[in-house]
Amino acid sequence: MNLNNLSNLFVYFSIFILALNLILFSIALTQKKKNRITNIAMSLTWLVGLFLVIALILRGIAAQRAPWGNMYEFAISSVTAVVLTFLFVSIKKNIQWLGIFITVPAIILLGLAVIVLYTESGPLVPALKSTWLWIHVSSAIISYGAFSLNFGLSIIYLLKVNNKLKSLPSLKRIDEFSYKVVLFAFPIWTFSVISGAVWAENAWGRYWGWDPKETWAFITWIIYAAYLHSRVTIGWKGTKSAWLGIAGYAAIIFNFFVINIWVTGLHSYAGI
Amino acid sequence: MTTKQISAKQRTETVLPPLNFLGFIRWMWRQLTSMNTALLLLLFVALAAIPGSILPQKTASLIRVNNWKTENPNLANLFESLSFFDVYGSVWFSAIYILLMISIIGCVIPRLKVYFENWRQKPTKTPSVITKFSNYQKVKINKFSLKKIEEIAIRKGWRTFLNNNSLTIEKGFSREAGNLLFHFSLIIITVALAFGALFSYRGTVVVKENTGFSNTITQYDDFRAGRFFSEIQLPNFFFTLNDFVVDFERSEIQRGAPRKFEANITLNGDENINLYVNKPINISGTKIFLTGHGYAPVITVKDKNNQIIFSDAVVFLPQDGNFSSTGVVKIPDTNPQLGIEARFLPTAIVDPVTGPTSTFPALDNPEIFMSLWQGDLGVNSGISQSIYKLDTSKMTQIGLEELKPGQTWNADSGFVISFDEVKQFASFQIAYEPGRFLALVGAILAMVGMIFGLGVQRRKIFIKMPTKSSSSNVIEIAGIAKENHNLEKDILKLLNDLGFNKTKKVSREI
Ligand code: HEM
Repeated sequence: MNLNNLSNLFVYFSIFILALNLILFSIALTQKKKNRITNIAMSLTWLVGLFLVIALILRGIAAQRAPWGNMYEFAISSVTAVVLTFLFVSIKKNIQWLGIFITVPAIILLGLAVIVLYTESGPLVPALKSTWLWIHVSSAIISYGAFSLNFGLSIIYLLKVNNKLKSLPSLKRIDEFSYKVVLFAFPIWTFSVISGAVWAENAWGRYWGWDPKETWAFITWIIYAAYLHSRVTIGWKGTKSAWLGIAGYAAIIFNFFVINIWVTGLHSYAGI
Repeated sequence: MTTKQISAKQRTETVLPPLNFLGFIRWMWRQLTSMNTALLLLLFVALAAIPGSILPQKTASLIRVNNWKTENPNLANLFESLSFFDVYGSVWFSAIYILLMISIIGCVIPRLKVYFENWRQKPTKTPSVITKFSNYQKVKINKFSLKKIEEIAIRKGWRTFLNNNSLTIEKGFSREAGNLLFHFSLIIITVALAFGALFSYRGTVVVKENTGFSNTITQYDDFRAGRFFSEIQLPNFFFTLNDFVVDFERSEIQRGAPRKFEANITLNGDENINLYVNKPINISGTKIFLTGHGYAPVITVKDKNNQIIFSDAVVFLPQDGNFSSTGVVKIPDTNPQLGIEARFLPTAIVDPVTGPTSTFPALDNPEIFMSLWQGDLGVNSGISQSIYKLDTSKMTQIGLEELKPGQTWNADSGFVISFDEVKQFASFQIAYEPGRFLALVGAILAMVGMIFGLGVQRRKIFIKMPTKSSSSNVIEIAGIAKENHNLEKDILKLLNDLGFNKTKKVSREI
C-alpha cells in the first residue's frame, strides 16, 4: 500500500466518524446542557482532527511538498483547518453546541473532495513552485477555517432568532463569538490576498489583474469588511450581520467550486 | 468580578467620549449616517465586481469577448453598452469606487481631528459614583497615595487623569489610530492603482530559439499601455533565446504535466541568463517573465525551379495539454499565392475515431499534417490578419500530406515542401508596473493599522480613595470597556502591581 492510498484511508475514516458524529451531535442538541453524548462526539472529533492531519502529512510526504497543491488537497486542508479551529477553541470555551454546524459542512466538503476533486498526489507544475504558494495558500486555509466557524455561528444565530432553540447559548453570546472569529480571520485573509498580489507580481508582472479568482477574493474581502462595519452601524448589528457572514462564506465557496472549475483564468491547479 | 453587564449608556461613553451633550449628538448623528452609507457602498462594490468575473473581459482576452458576443448575439449589444466586457474600467464601477473613496476621506478627516483633540485632552473626570458599575469592588492594597498609583499606572502605559480623591486611567488609543491608518492606507492603495493604470505598460512576445527581441513597440506581438505612457519610457535592451529546456512528467500520475521549463537567453549581447517561471529578470523597473512555450517546426518550400521561396521556423500555437499545435505559412510572393495550414503533433498517433492526436507533450514521435492551399491569401485586403490563421475563403486546396522531421513532400504544381527539424519557442511577458511599490507600502500600512484597529480595545479604569483621604490601603475600583475586551484581566494586573492579594479583599458591595 503506498502513502497515497494510506492517506485516502484516513480521509475515509474521517468521513465515517463525522457521519457518526452527525447523529451524536443531533441527539445532543435535543438534550440538556452538558451530557455524555456530547463528550463522546467531541472525543471523536479530536480523532477526526488527528486523522485528517495524518492524511495531510502522508500526502505531503508522498509528494514531497506542502499538501495543498491541487483542489483536492486544498479542500482537505481547509476542512482540517475548520475542525482544528473548532477543537482548539473548544479547549478554552464551551462551544460543543457548534459541533453539528462543523460536522455538516465538513462531511459535505470531504465528500466533494473525494468524489469530485480527487487526484493522485504528484509534484507541482512549475508555475506553482514557489515559496509564495506556501505562504499564500496556508494563510487562506487558516482564514477559511475561521470563516467557516463564523458561517456556522451565523446560521445558529438566525435559527435562534426565528425559534428559540433551548440548548443553545444566548443570542448575545453567539453574536459576540462570531464577531471574535472574524476579528481573527479577517487580518489573515487580508494577508493572504496581499501575499497573492505579491506573488502575482512576481509571476505575471502585475499585482492585480481582476482575474476571476482575484475578483472573488476581493468580493469576499469587501463582504467581511462590510461585516466589520455592520458591527458598529446602528441597525445592522445582529440579524443583518449574520446574513453578511453567510454572504461572505457563500463568496468563498463560490470562488472555490465555481470559479476553479468552470471559469478559465490564470489561476489553475494541476489536476482539476 | 463581572464586567459583562455594562449599561448601554456607559458603553457608548467608552466608544465616543462626549464633549458636550449637543455636540455629542451631532457627532454621533454624522457618524451614523455616513457609516450607513459606507456599508451600502461596500456592498455595491462587491455586487458591481461580480459581472466582470463571469463574463469574459477585454483586458484579459479580446478573442474570448468576441466569441461570447457571436454566441450570444441578443445580449451582446446591451452588455457592450453597459461596459460588461470592461467592468473594472467602466464608468459605473469607477463611480462607486470613487464615491467610496470620498466617503473614506469624509470619514477620516473629521475623525482625525477628533482624535488629536482627544489626544491632547486628558481622560474624562471620574464619575462621582462608581458603585453602580457591575465590576465595582473595594480592595485592600499596599498603602499608596493616589499620586503614587498614578505613577505606577503611567509606567504601565496608561494615560491618567488625577482628581482630588479619584483617578481615571485609560488605554487603547492605538485602536483609533490603527483604524485611521488603515482607512488612510486604502487611499494610498487606490492612488497606486490609479498611477499604475496611467503609466504602466505590458506586452507579450513570442521568440523562437536562435532568434531575438529588442525592446521597441513594433517588436511586440501585443502591447498595452496606460493613458500617459510614452515610448521613451521603454528601457533599451535586447536578447536572444539560445535554448529552451522543458521536462514533462512521464509517470502515470499527472502524466504530461510540465515539471520544469527554463529559457537560456543572452541579454544585450554579453550576459547569459537562465530565465524560469516565477523568476523574472528586472531591467530598470521593467520585468521580463517567461510565461509559456511551444514548438516551431522548420519548414522549407521550394518552387518548381528548385528556388527556395520560404524557409523558417514557424510558431505553432499549442491547443491542448499534449501540445497538439496549429500553425500556418503564408507565401504572398508567388502567383497565385500559396498557403499552408498545418497541425503539429509532438507525439503523434492516429486514433481510428478522432484521427491524428498527440498523446504526450514531448517530442517522442513528432509529425506534421499539412494542407496546401493556392489562391488569394487576402493579405492585401487592408484588413489586418492574424498570422496564426489562414483565410481559405478565396483559396483551393491542392494537397494533403503528413511528414516526419527530415521528410520531403513533392506536392502539386512542382512545389517541394520539407519538414527539416523542430525548434522551440518561448513566450515572454514584459511589464512595467510603476505603482507597485506604493501599493505594497499601502498594503503593509493597512495590515499594521488593521491589527491595531481590530486587536486593541479602548478601556477606562476608575480608582477612588475612601472619602477625603489622599492615601490609603483601601481603594474602590471599577472600569468600562467594550464587551469583547477582558477588562477583569486589566484590573487584576493593575491591582497586582499595587500589592493586591486576593485574600485581602475587603468587600464586594452592591
Ligand atoms: C473602501 C472602503 C472601506 C473599507 C474597505 C473599510 C474597511 C474597514 C475595516 C476592515 C475595518 C476594521 C479594521 C479596523 O478597525 O482597522 C473598518 C473599521 C471601521 N470603518 Fe471602515 N472601511 C471603509 C470605509 C469606511 C468609511 C467611509 C467609514 C466612515 C464612514 C468607515 C468607518 C469605519 C469605522 C468607524 C470603523 C471602526 C469599527 C470598529 O471600531 O470596530 N469606513 N473599516
